[in-house]
Amino acid sequence: MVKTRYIITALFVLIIGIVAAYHLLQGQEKRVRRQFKLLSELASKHGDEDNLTMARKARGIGALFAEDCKLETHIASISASYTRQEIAGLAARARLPFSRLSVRFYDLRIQFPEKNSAQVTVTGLASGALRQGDLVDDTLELVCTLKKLDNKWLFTGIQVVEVLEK
Amino acid sequence: MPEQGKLHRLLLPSFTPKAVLRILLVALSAYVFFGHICIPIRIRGASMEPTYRTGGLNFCWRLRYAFSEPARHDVVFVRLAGKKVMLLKRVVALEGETVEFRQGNLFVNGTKINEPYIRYPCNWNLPPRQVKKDRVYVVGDNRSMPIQCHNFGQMPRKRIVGTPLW
Repeated sequence: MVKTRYIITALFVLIIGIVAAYHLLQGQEKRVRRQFKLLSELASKHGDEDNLTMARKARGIGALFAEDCKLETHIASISASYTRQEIAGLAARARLPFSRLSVRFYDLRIQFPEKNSAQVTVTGLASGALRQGDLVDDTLELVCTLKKLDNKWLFTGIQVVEVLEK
Repeated sequence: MPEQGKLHRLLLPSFTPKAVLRILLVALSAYVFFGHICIPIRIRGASMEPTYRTGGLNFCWRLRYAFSEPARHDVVFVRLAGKKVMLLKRVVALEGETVEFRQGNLFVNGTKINEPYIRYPCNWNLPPRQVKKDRVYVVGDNRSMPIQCHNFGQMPRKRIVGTPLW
C-alpha cells in the first residue's frame, strides 16, 4: 500500500516535471520566434523613410545581435565576424537602395543543442523594389545561431545555405 | 415529391456518424495525398522554359525515386528552403562525372551531350568540375540569360523532392 503510494507520487512528480519542461521549452521557443518577428519588422520597409526612422531601425536591428556575430555566405566579401554596431551599419546600407522591402521568416525549425543556445533553420524571403524600379524577390535557407545573454535571445551567427554550387 | 426528397438529401445530407466518418476519411486522405505525396505546385520563373512555363500548374510526385535513382535528363524538384520553396531543374550529370560548358554546349566526361529540350541560344562557358559524392548536377532548360544570372550547379541528392507529374 505504501509502495503504491510512492509509485503514484513519483509518477505524479514526473508528469508535472514533463509538463513544466514542455511549457518552459515552448516559452523559450516563443521567445526565439519573437526575435525573428522583430527582425522581420525592423528590416522591412513600407515606403520612403526619414533619416530618423532609418537610424532607429538600423539600431534596432543591431540590438538583436550579440556583440560578436558571424556571417557566413557564399559572397566572400561580406562573410566575416561583426560587432553589433557593424551589423547596424550593414543593415542600414543594405536597406538604403530599396523603396520598399518585405523581409519574412517562415518554416522555423528550432533546436536547443545546449543550455541557453538555439539553432534555427529558417526560410528567409526578401521581396521588394529598388529605387530605380527593379523588383527583387529572393528566397534563402538560413541557419541561425542564437545565445541567451542577459535574459535576451541574441543572434550570434547567420549562415546562408548554398544549395547549388556552380 | 420523390425528386424533391432526393434533391433535399443531396443538398442537405443528414450527418449520420457514418457520413461524418466518411467525410473525415476523405479529408484525411486528401490531406495526406496532396500534402505529402502529390503536392500541387505553381511554377514561377523562366529558368525551365519552354519546357515548363511560368504560371503553369503541376504536381510534385514524391514517390518517383522511392525505388530508383535520378538519371540524366530527369526534371526534378529541388528543395531550396523550408518545406514550400522548390526549384525546378533538370539533372545533367551524376556523382563522379565531370561537367563543363563550351560555347553553350554541355559536355559530361568530355563527351558532348545531346539536349533536344534546349530551344533558346546559349553561349555559356564553364570550366570542367567534378560532381561530388552523393550529389547531382542540375541546370535549367532556359540558358539564354548570362551564366551568372542562372541558378544552377551541384547539390545534395537528398534535396531532390520529386518530379513533375507531367
